[in-house]
Amino acid sequence: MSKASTAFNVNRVKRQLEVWLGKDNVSAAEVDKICYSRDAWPLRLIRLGRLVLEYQPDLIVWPQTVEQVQKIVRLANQERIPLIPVSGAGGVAGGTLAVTGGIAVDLKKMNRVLEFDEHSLTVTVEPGILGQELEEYLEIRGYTSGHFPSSIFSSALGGFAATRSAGVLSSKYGKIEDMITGLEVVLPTGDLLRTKAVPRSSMGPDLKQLFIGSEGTYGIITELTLRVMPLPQATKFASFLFPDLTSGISAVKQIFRHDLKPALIRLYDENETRFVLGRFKSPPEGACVLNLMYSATKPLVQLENRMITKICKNTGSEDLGPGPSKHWWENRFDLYYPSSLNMGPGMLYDVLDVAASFANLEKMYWAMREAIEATGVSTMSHFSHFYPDGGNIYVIFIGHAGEPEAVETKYNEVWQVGLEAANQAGGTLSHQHGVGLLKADWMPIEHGASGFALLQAIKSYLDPNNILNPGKLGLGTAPVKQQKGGR
Amino acid sequence: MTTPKSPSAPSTLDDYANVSRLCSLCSRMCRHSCPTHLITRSDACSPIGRALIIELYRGKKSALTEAAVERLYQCNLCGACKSWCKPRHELPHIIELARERVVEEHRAPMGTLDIDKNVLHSSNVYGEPHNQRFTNLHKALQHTTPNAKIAYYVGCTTAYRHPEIALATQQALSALGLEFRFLSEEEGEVCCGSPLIRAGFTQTAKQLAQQNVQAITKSNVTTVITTCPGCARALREDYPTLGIPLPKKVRVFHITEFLSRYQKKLAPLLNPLSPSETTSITYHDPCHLGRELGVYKQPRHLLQLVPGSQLVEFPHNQEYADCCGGGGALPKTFPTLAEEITKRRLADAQATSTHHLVSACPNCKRHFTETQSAKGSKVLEILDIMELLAQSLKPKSRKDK
Ligand SMILES: Cc1cc2nc3c(=O)[nH]c(=O)nc-3n(C[C@H](O)[C@H](O)[C@H](O)COP(=O)(O)OP(=O)(O)OC[C@H]3O[C@@H](n4cnc5c(N)ncnc54)[C@H](O)[C@@H]3O)c2cc1C
Ligand code: SF4
Repeated sequence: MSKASTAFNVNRVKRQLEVWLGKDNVSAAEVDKICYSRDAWPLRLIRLGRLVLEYQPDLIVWPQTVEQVQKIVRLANQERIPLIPVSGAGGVAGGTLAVTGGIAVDLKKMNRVLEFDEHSLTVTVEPGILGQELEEYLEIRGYTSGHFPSSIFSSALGGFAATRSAGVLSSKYGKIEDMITGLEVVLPTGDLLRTKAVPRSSMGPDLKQLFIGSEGTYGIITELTLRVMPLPQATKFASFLFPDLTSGISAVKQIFRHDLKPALIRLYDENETRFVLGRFKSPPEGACVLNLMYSATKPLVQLENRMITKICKNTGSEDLGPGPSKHWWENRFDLYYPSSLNMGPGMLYDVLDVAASFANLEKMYWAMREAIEATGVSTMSHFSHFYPDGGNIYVIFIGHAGEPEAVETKYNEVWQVGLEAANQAGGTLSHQHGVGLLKADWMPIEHGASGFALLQAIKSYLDPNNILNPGKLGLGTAPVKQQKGGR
Repeated sequence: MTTPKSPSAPSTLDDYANVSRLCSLCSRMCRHSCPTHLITRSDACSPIGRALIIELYRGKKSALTEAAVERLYQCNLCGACKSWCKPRHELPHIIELARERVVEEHRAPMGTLDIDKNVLHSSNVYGEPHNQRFTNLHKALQHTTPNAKIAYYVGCTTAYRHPEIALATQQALSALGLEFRFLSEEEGEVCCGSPLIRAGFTQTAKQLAQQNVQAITKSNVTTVITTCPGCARALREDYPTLGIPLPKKVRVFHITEFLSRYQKKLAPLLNPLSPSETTSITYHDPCHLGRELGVYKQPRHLLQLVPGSQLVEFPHNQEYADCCGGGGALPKTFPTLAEEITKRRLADAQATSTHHLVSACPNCKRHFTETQSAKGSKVLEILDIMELLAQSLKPKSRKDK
């Protein structure tokens, strides 16, 4: 499948799009194209830091209505022009990079709240509303979406859905796929698909789940209905220091087995514990801190606090009080600002976000850590999304490799050995960050030959001309020029 | 790491290379606060986009093309991005330095060339006759004291467009028994230069700084007050950076900073604005006054002195306040964008169910009133803080007749 290509008459297409969208909503300016040639994928940022120019779209458009999106898609389908849906461009896997040129469809001008239904506790929005914008809208009215990924400032609702994202309070509020009750999608032919916004349905497979996580390869999400919750009445923080990872994980298991779902539950490995405790305490070797936040009605907060404190104490931990957890919550974005530490010349960094059942979780942690550290970079990790049956691991790596080529080689090596270890330990290769370009080659490994063939067959059926986000998720990969440094 | 901003050494773009590089690689942590991004929704028209454009220029990967210049001049320099930046990067200042390069390369947008031309020709941004700078203020002039130690530096917008702010200020100063003077003689005040510094015309700004410093020095005052935050910032912060500081003995205050020292004396002179009901007031923090000079509390304290006043806050207030749309020469260069920004702020004000939208800056007042009247509706009473205080002055304490 390699039908879409960059060989299109940019000027003619631009003129047509200007008629439909208005001049201000179409750009072919060089600097604009360069600004759209990056998301927040660390490898792309490492290269951009050296001013490597690549992955530029030929045009950028800002549609304002679903009808405009349909027109753009129909034109692209007819003329075989690649389309790259963009929401916040805060993805971390290269999902919005224009591998074969084409048109970047920035949905951020579709940012309206279409309906807020206080009876059903749902809100219907367009895909370009930023996480923070939605949260502010709801908060003024006494509600919350409960979706608090650390990219709440940089990412938008369409991107949250398209990458199957998870917020830091996911154990209470669920992940994006639990929140979405209805979707509207423009298919690669320009046709519109709407799923009913209902609490649940058993009329065959759940079609909206086909698009959640499809990263713009199956369709462009143009409307979402989500569950919301009243703002919590009370909030309380707690932190416990466990002698080792095993006892920390054991406490978390107990917490879930007692049917408790604290809003925040983050267990740090020994390396990140030292970092997190910082000014609070110098932890003994191997010790792991568990940060918790209870956020609910007052009686429920009291109950969670009482029961979880008991579980943690019985598991041999030291009660550190609310300090470290509260401090983390209030400073949780600090890590995400650019700094010379990770972005200085010769540096490399990124995060592997994997997940496994409890049976494999600890084994996977040690296997990944060993494999990654053997490449000469440092790691620190946390487990920040838990379920009754398991959890994720967020493995942060940082290192120095000197020359640009060495940086990229090392970067790719870390990912290779890290994901191999995760795969062998029975884990999924992404819990929340998605695939993009970064993990595209791993899709057949994750899903197996039949699974991946099915995903490809769906792609061919929906998008016979391979116009939508070609190359992402490893789907419709044929026209992809292998960019240096990309996987 | 904070931006190196040394008042004594005028800086260049390359001094900030590390900061603009990091901003260009940022995960868009402040983009959501940029009013120009929130209207255009373009990633190029955002703090991160502008930093990347500067990096491309510095790295000789892209020239200052028409689109690059547009993105740089679409910034209204409101500084909102700084409030969301943990490392406190001074990106607006870096954008000003980039604009200096644009001016040097003779690529400045038309609107800014007009400002430069007006100022060179008639010493004010509006191109009005310089000898009429104080014409609208003749009533206030009658209450000045020639050798007073306090000079009221009026500024272009108050002088030519909103003289009512100066008249109200005179009433408040007179009611408090404070003697003051204008710098109204032949070689008196000229434009403070702030609009030119912001637009990259540093050389013109330096000439103006020199004239103002001379006028103030000659007047022998020890205190300069101004009702315009842009002027206050220029005189207090920008002039030393340009290497043209005021004499050490002279202190510069925005009127709200100055009057907050007289709260005890002022309070008994004030009446309720409405005899029967409370008056709700939403205070808009001007960007230069709030984020740049750190003045948040004083205007609020002054407003709360008015009996029966009830202060209602914008959801985005103080450090996180949104711009009125008038900053960074935007109304001259990109009027539609500026107006959209103003409309958003007006809509937010209306949502607070306020009677009065009060600012402490003649430019904010100008953009709010012009945009509201263009919409054809007069929903909000838009006032400068000095007008509100003057309205509240008890008749017997008013000395304006
Ligand atoms: C600082 C930071 C912190 C982060 N923290 C978290 C976190 O806590 N949890 C988490 O899950 N992730 C996190 N991420 C990753 C990232 O934010 C998520 O992947 C996010 O969901 C991406 O949303 P976006 O709007 O930025 O999407 P974009 O980057 O714009 O797009 C991502 C992908 O989705 C596709 N897409 C976008 N919009 C649409 C649409 N309307 N229809 C169809 N396809 C579309 C794009 O083509 C692309 O393939 C973080 C990222 C950053 C930079
Ligand atoms: S000012 Fe701070 S938050 Fe904004 S782009 Fe620069 S580093 Fe990022």
